[in-house]
Amino acid sequence: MTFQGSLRFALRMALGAGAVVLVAVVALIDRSQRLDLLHPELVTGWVLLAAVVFLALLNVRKKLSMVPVGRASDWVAAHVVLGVVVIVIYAFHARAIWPSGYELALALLFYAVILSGLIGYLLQRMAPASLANLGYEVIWERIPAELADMRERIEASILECARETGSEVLPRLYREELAWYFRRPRFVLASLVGTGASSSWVHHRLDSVSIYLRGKEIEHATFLRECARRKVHIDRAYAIQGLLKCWLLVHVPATYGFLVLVLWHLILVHVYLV
Amino acid sequence: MSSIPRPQRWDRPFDENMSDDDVARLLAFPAFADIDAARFPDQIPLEGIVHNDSRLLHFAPGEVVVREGDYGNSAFLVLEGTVSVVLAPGLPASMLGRSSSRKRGFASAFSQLWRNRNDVPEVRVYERRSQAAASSQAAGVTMVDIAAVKQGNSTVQLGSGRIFGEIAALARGPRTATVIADSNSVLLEIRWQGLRELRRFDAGWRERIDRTYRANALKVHLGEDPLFAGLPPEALEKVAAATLFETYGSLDWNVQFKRKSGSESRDVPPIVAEGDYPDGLLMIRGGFARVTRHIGNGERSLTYLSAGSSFGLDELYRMWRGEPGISLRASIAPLGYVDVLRVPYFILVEHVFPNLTQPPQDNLHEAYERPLTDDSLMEWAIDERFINGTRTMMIDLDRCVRCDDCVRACASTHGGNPRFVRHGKQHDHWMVTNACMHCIDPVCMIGCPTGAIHRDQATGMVVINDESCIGCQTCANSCPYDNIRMVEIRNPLGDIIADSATGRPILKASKCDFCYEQPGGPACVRACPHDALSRNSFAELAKLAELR
Repeated sequence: MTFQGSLRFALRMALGAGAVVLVAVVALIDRSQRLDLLHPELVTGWVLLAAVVFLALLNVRKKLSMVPVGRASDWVAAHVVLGVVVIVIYAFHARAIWPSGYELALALLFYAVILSGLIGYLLQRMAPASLANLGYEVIWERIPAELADMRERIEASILECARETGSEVLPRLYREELAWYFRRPRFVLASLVGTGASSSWVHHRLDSVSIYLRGKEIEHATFLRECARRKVHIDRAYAIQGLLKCWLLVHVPATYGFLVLVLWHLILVHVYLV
Repeated sequence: MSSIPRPQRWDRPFDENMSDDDVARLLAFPAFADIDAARFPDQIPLEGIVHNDSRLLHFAPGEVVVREGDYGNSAFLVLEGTVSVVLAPGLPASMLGRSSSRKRGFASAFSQLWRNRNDVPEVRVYERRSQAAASSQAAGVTMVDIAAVKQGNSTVQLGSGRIFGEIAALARGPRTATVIADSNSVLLEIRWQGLRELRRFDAGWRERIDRTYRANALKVHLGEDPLFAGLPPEALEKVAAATLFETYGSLDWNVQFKRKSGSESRDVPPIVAEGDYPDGLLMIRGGFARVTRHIGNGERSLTYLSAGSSFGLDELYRMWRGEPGISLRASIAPLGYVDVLRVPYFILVEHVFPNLTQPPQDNLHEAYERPLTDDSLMEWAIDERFINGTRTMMIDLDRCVRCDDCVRACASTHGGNPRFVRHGKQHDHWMVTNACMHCIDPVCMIGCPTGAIHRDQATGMVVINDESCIGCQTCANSCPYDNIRMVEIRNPLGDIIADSATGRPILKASKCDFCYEQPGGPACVRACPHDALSRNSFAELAKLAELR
């Protein structure tokens, strides 16, 4: 391992150790204050708030890529570790799974953040390999352009087929069925689960008309099959990449919503309860 | 179907204005008058070389002819006047009109947060730049005070009939010195294609070029090799005198490579073949060579050689030890082009082997014993010529979540426009993206008319001086990997800046500069949240094995 690699390994280990120490300290304070009939929620609450603010800083780090404020991967590692710690501190602080009143909304947002974070973490671990195994890499933003380009070539091929053979089979098939398929990513859920629905749908239709094809038409149908194979990959890439982006649409807004309610919670606690 | 005549070598001469009278005058010049024109083939006549591969240049006193560190593609023959070669340590970069490589401070880097216009990329404050350019022209970016230069530096004066710049041109290396015109001078610039033919067909030119190389560079080169490092000067002299220069492949490999859609052909005649009798040590001086061994019905790449590597030492040593039936165990073939020094066996017997305390390491056997599929990444990197890169951007697709944080980080450190595309060729789970690889052999520099694309002297990165880039696209067309893009520039209002004469947009070459001015190194690497993106050199084979 290189020196830099060793340093980063040591940093990750220190992160883990720091998390354990933090949880132990919070647990000790919580226990001792409870025994003294004090309000440990105040301490755990402030620690929780500090941790959540630090977690939210990851988004700020992403905007500061031009300054050397540590590698994003180290920030993510800290984010994951602290995210787990936050669950434990929350348990000490809330002491209830379903609180009542506005605190239920606070708890629900917290669960949404945690759950979406966990799902996001798992997705980020598993999805990249599925994408890599497709063997066809496409940039998410380029998918509409890729499909438009594919449609253009298919339509040119269909027109050429009609001109060359005078047959209506492939033009009709395209107009009646395939145009819908190639217009945009289809079978998103099925592609995500990997049922093969996209592939069987298009190949079933091509197989159905294959008995009406002769000579040059078969060449054009072969080209269509090739495009269909690519379209299946695009559908799957769209589904997986979409999912990789979608979880953040829950995680980030839920975090900000949670922080707003936390602010409200702070005001209420310090004005009425303390 | 329409048809056009097959493109020919001299369809576009180096100088469109070179007249027949100019050519006649040049052929009467001693450097050409002594050449036996009959030795040149009919399709490449001497007159044709002078007419099409050279151009006449006029320099005023103090004007910089070539700059140290620039990569050259031509040599110069002094016709009239004199020029001065500035010897080491040479002139400071600030005098040579290059961008400085000073790193930004933290505050300056941070200020990019609000200075970058993400809605309008590639903004240039052109009025201010024009004034700056005008004032720098007056101050003399390419003009130096020749008297001051001579006072502060050692110089060598070259007069009429002297040639310079031929080594950098033929080896595609950097210029080793800055040359400045002393007086009003007329120089003939001969592009490397023509120079190569002159060297090939005329013994006088060949001898002149080889003699210069022997006098200046060969002994230094040999002395840097551990095999010859300890030799006394007189022995080194003998080694240098007996060493042969050989060049294989094509210097314009990038053109052929691009034509074949970026894949290295394996049908290249070998320099030496497996089973051949070893007659000398082959030392790679420049370029690359593939080491292969026959397997089944193909050739398996065991490794590749680059500048500083050598081939055949183990076999020669075993032959010297008296082992019978020694032959080469592998072939080597040029990858694009390769410059080779061949040190004859008898020289090694006389000066090297008796001093060796240990037999040379046999790495080939170990390479051959590796499982066949272990080499697939290397085979691919060789075929795609990614071995040329020193900072190749590789993305581990098994880790990459396609979040584009790397692209955004690049954009936010480069005026709102990313300098790479997160797309590229794939092998297994590795993607080599379309980002500048900062090549060992940066063919993009060849032909840049202003020297805007150059190696940063402090970091060695290949960078573009935006102010001197004229948007000619030569570098973008030369890059075999399509890693240079031409971008339209805009004023702060977001309007495209156009050429006042033609109304066409002004273009600038844009590519990854490895964040050489940013504190903390390349932003793309730092921004990757999953450590999926790394910048690697395929030359580090150990690292390659780790990656695999």
